[in-house]
Amino acid sequence: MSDLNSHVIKEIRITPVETYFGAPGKGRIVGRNSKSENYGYNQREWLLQITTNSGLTGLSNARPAMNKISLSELYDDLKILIGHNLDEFFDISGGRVSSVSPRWGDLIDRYGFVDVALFDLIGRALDVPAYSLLGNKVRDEVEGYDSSLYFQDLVNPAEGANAAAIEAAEAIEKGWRAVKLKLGRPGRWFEPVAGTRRDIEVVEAVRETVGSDVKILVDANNGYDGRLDLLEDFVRGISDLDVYWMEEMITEEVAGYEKLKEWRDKFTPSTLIVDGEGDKGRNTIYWELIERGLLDAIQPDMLHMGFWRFHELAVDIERSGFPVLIAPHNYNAAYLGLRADIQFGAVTERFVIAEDSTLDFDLYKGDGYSFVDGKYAVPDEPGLAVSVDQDLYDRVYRQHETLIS
Amino acid sequence: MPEIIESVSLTPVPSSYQKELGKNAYADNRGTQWLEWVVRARSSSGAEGITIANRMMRQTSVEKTLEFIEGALLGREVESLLETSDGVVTGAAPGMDRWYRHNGWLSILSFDLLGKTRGVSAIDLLGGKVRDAVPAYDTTLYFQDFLNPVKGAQQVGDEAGKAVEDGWRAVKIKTGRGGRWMMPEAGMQRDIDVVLSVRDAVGPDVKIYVDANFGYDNHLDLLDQFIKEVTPADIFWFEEMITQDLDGYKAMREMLAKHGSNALLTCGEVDRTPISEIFQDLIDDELIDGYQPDIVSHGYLGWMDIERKLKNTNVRTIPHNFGNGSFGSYASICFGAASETYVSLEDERIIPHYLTDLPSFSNGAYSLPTGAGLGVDIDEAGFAPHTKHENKLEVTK
Repeated sequence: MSDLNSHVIKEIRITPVETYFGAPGKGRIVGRNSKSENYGYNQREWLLQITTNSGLTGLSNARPAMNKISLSELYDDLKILIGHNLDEFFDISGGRVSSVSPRWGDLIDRYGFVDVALFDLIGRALDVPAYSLLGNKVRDEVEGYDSSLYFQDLVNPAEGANAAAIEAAEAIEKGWRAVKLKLGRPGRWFEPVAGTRRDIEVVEAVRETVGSDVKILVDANNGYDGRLDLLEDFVRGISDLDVYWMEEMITEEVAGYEKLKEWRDKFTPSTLIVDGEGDKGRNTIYWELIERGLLDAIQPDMLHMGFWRFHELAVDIERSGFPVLIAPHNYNAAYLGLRADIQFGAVTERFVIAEDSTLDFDLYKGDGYSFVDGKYAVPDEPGLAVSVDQDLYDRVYRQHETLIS
Repeated sequence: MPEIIESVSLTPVPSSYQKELGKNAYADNRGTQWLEWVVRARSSSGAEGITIANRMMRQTSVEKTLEFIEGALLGREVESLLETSDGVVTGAAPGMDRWYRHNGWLSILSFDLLGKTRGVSAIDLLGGKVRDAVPAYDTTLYFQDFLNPVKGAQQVGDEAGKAVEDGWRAVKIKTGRGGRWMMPEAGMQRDIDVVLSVRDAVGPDVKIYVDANFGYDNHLDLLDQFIKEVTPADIFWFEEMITQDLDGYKAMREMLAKHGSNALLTCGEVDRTPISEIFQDLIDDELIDGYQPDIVSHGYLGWMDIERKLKNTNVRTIPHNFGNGSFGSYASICFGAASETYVSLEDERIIPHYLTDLPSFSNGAYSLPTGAGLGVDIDEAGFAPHTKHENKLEVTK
């Protein structure tokens, strides 16, 4: 344990780290969703390393920024962190973060992933896990779901609806006990009636393959927009398939969600209705849906929100008394984002399940997050409990890093 | 009996690259696979015209594209697709212009089907062959140094060397790393290292094209240094180094002169309504040497019109072809065979799978197809796995 003001940010490194769906060095293609082209063969983490003069390093994934802006712009925005000590960013009392400093609120709002690295650093400096800066641990394990089952039938057309089932079986073999299926084929890539039929066939095929004990989540990325008639057909079609949640079946709006809830209640009453990747709290359509009882769980993005803003939202929901759950979106988050999600889930009562893009990296060591029977253990080591394999980094990745000092 | 188009279909067919393709200056990894939205139109005698509707599918849905194809083709006489004179297409047939205007890809199907029903090559319909082979360049050298970080710039050099081993005599290198994914100066230095590594790998006789996808926008100082450093590597053309702009292109001309480079300046892939004003200005002021609207998006009619407009200039025909898959290669070969100023086919080197074989490839060039139409048909065995996703419409009899 040490005084936070003795740790001054000295260097920041941003480094692209590629990996593959499945395993480092080899992978599989993750296909379309209802609106976008193939997700691709691999993913990348924009590894953010913030290092202090005391030799501590906090980690995060800067991909949310790199999805939108250039490295040069990010460089300019982050260089203001240099020279500031760890005591300046948050008010901390009794080992808990209680507020963000007004000086840094805008930066944290814009780049929630920076707060993840800061929590990692502060946790290391105080010799406590990152989660403990938010509250008491409410669970020792966090369940994850395989979120990489896209329109695999268009990637492997000969298999048709069974393509997703084949890959779901592989996920179960590797340990997951929950899988999410991308649906919404009527939206763009299929003739709408045929797309609805295929969506139902995919859920049927996966359920038949994985058995009754595995959670099946579905996500249409708003692919039923403008086709509520087909959405009703779909909800009716999955009535006996025990779907755990339906996500983004249509773009959020009250009238459509009232119909969706009506059909859900009628055909598959135990299925949750979830939405809200773009949520930032009150004064949003999501909050209105929550107030009207039309949403069972919301899904702001873990790395966009960061620990603190997400925690504020969770507290706000708790105090509001609405029975809505929290299931952070985390698809682009790769290794470090998933670990942040697990830390957040460890202290958040209403947390449901962690989105896992199933990427593995040679570069990271995070043995405390053991994965057994579909659940990640919550490590009690300081900070984010992840370290970088320095030899590998020096040999392969350092030549690609951008240093801010 | 007139030849009537009796059925049309739209089918997504995945195409695979020979390897994974990485980023360019602005877009994330391309990946290993892309879709071709294959359109088939079958006439009464069983002749079949082919094209791809990728351009339309980028903007809309299967439902809307099917509606469009149905309206444009189903029940129409094949001879009513195009106007011809002395066996050469002169334009759209009456009533067809509105279908081709923003969807030039449809005109390629019309050339194919008309050629097949008449028993003539699309090359002849385009005016006849002006060369016996169409040169091609490997366009798959993306930011491979990111994908395979161990080797850095050398990774691109190694892949270029492999392309030459495979028979290519021209390669295009994606540059502009400082535009988004690297810091500007570090990106320029990597770009230089990559180009020099490629030249070293391919030897002196292979053409090198460089394409920055506007990655040097707002960094003319770095572009000047880049051109200076890579000029000894004998660059054949510089493509989209900056966004189209008269002052910027004048500055580039001066850079080339200052550093003793004979490279061409090319651009135009982003021109959706060729030839739009800024590109016409660049052409009139002799600031570009090659013009690059997409071959499939604008189709044969669109490109015939472009070439008419370029006729009294020194600007060469270099159609963009990336994203057009196997079909795009066939379409480009036929067009290149009949174009006086055509330079080189942009070849994605898609692994063949659903079309009958490409013409033979030797010494970096494709021979010309000999069959009617585009000289290509659907390989039904290869296509069979994809029929599961076929969307087909037929004339009601």
